[in-house]
Amino acid sequence: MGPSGSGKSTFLHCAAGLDRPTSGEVWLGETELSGLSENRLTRLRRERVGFVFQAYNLLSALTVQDNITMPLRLSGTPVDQEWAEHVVERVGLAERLHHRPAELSGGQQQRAAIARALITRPELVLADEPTGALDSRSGAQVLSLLQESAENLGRTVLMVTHDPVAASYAQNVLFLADGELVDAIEAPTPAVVSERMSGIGGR
Amino acid sequence: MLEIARKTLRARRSASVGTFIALMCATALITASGVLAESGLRSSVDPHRYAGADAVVGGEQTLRLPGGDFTVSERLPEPVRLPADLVGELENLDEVDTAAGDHHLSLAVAAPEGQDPLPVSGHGWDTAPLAPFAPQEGTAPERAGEVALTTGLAEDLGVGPGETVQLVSGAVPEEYRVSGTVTHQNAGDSRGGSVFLHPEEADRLAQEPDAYDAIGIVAAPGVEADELTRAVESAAEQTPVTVHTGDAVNRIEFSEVDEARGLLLMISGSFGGLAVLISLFVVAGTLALSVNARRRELAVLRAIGSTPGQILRMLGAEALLLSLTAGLLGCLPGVLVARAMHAAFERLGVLPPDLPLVIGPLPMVIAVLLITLTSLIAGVAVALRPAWSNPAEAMRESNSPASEPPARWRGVAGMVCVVLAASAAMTPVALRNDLGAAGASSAALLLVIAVALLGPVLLRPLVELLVRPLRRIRVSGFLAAESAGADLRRLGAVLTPLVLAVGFTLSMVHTQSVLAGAVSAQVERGIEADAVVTDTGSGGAGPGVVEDLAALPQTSAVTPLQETRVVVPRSVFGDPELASFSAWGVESEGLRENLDPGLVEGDLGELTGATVAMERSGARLIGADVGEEIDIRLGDGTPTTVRLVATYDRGLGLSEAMLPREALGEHTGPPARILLSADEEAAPEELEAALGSFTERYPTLQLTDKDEFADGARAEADLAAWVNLIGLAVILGYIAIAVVNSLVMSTAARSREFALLRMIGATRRQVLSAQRWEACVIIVLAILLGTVVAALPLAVLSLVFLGSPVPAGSPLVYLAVVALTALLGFCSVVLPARSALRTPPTEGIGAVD
Repeated sequence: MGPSGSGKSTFLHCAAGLDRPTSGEVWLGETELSGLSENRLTRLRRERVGFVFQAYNLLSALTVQDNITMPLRLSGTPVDQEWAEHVVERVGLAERLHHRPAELSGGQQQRAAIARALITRPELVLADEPTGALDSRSGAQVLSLLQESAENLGRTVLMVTHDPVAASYAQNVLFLADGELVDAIEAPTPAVVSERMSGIGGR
Repeated sequence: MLEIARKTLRARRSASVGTFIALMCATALITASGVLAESGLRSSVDPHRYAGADAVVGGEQTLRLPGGDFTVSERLPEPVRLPADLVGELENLDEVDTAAGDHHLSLAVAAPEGQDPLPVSGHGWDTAPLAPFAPQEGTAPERAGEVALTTGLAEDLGVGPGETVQLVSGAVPEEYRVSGTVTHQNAGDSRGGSVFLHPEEADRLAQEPDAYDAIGIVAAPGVEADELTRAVESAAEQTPVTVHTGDAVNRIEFSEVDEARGLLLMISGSFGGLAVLISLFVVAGTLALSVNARRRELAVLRAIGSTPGQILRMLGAEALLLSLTAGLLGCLPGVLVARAMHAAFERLGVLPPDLPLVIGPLPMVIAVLLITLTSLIAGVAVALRPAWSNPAEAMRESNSPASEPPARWRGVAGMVCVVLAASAAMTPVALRNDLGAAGASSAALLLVIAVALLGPVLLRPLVELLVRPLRRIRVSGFLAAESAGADLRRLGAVLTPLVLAVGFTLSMVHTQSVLAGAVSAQVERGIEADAVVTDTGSGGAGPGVVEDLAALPQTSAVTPLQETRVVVPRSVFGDPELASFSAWGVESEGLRENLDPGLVEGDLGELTGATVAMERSGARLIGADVGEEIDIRLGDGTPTTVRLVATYDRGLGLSEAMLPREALGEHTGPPARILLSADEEAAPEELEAALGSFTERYPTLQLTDKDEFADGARAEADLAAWVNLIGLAVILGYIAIAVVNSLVMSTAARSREFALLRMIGATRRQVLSAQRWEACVIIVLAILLGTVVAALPLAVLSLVFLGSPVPAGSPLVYLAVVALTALLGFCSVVLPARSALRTPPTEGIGAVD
């Protein structure tokens, strides 16, 4: 977490190999990212990292099903039917697989995006304000889904957010300000997070 | 609102560039056709021989019908002369100081050995004061056998006073003594040389001795031009006259200038019409594309509380600003395009080199107004849907391809275009000449518009069929297939200019080649003569020459061809109209030995007296059956009644009407070509030898054969084709710009989609390869539709004109069109995609569009 301009998104992009840090190193598991070529990075991203953005996440020309399986298609991996069904069921979109994104609500779109992020069984799921454009009920669904993927499916979920309630779904919260880690709490509650945030905002 | 519009345009500079270019080029195109039209109306060369005249009176050279509006007019091909008595009447007017009747004699003067005779214009010496000309060396011609030459001409010929020159009139050469050389008192030598004869000699050589081509007038001192014009018109009473004063006298002095201006008007009419139509079409399409790309932004504006009226006004203001600036900047290139076309026409020899372009502000003003108005209307029309949408829905729709069904009016309008196209495609059946052939191109254009209107409905099944094999290619093919099929409206907008380019080029080029093919085929089959004698430069072969040729023992049938036109007044739904036909005056005796026009009905043997034979579609057009009487106007406007005795097939290579010589009388000049066939007892070589020695005696006569006759017809058809192709090339250049524009705009608008693909793990190569496949889908569709659009009307045309549905013309044209379309389309998609992929995806995903 952190105020606007504190470097949250840049941090996320560096972690995914989308941006290169000017100094320092980025390690994803056993792999050091800064030395990799653009193609290696792309391959790594689609095999080991899943992405969820704030909004406008899906390719409008494709159906929900094609959107979800796109990363597999890109890497040429066959679809693991069992896993796919599992993921789709988890996000609650089994009935909507043949619709286009425009026919879904914002929450449904975001859940489809999460399904897409999970379809490759990535080690790391990156989420950039995934609830920013959603109402609180859809937001809660999306956050539970992310929480579940961490706890039940064994993924690491790294989420950037403004929202103390969203942050409270996490196990650890790190605070960023002016590009530096300034604080951390474990097992956060919304109240504690808001308090720390206002402290950082006032500095 | 203008302020917001200005800021929006500035902020969206890169996106506005495409629209801007389309608008600018459209203005340039319309300006160019306007400049040509204005030049056709007003361009002039300095008067020379009439430079000293205050007014020049000529006959009414334009045929009009009582009750017809100004469009019902026809320029008469033969000179309309004035009665000789009029000179005396005019001379008696108080306002007139001198009046001189002038013959425009087409003469040739034999050049020193080895060179072709020079065509010159001959006049009576009594017209010299109109320039004025005065003797420089020697004297004026004082006797019938004397001639005065302009100094330039005398130098070219290397003759001086006292020597003799040979003047050829009606192919007959005669010796004249040079009495002197004359020079213009105010200006130097100008267009070609002139020769001055004794007035009586000029009368003798004139086709109609007691009629003048023009009457030049020097006004009494202090008489104004208006006053003079009124006095002359009232003195002429019953005779319709046109009075030219000031610089306008060049119109009657140089008939070829008048013809060239007519040609310019005709070119600017056909080219300008197409240019206006196509540029408006492209501008509307481009604006639709640019508004389409901004649906998201417009939805946001709706969501934050803009009223539909405000959005319309904002887009209207943008269109206004953009089109005004683009229009102003497009004027100058427009003038350059007009100059380039003018230069090209000059090189082809269809325009005299000294006829300048008239560049006035009017065409530019019209072009800017037209473009501004179109873009306002088109901009507002395409904005209607986003402006009136429910903001919440708008936000959602904006994120996705429009999914609602296309408006019903598009379907209806599209079908109307198809029906119109079908009837346009059938015009060659009804009218088997170059006008009818133009129906094929109109049909192709209408079909393109139908494709644009029917868009999604038409494209869905085609795209489905085409992308099926693509889906097998796992990543890129699949992506291309899905995105081509997902937004058919965008696909339609992108395709239209490409279909236009392919369809338009194919139909224009092949229409010309079908026409040229039909002309040469018909000439080859229609001319049976063994030899052709042609006169160049002396105004046609006189009757004596024709008789002498007929008297040769080696010839049997001799058919002089007097080339002219006849005009038939007819009524179309109660309105008077004029139908103009090319016509040959022929000698009916022996006609069938020399010509085989492909008789359909009637008997060519009856072609004597007041009769006519016509090409069958022409006869059908005026509703005449064989045996019926027709009221026609001859080449100089004289009304006469003739009986239709036959209809025939080969109107394109021969002429659309044939009349016996006696029906044309004095109303048509002497024949420039004479067809001859060999006597039964004479071998072809004997005929050739006899004609060879005959033409030796006549400097302007040349012996040619049937092949050269066909070559001449082909060359004429080719020239007409080139004139059309120059206009076509300019329009095609414009369409190419539109193609690139629309593809670049639509690809560049997808940078966000590319970024998203990159984020979820697509390599740059995968995205690019998907774009390549999509470009291929677009290109194949464009070539397919363009070919169909051109081929259907061309098949009809070709079936009617050549008897086979496969149009004439080199297959290389098709290959070149396909290759160029593919190259242009491919580069316009792949290059902008490549550049969009250069933006890091983290930035691309944040981009608004």
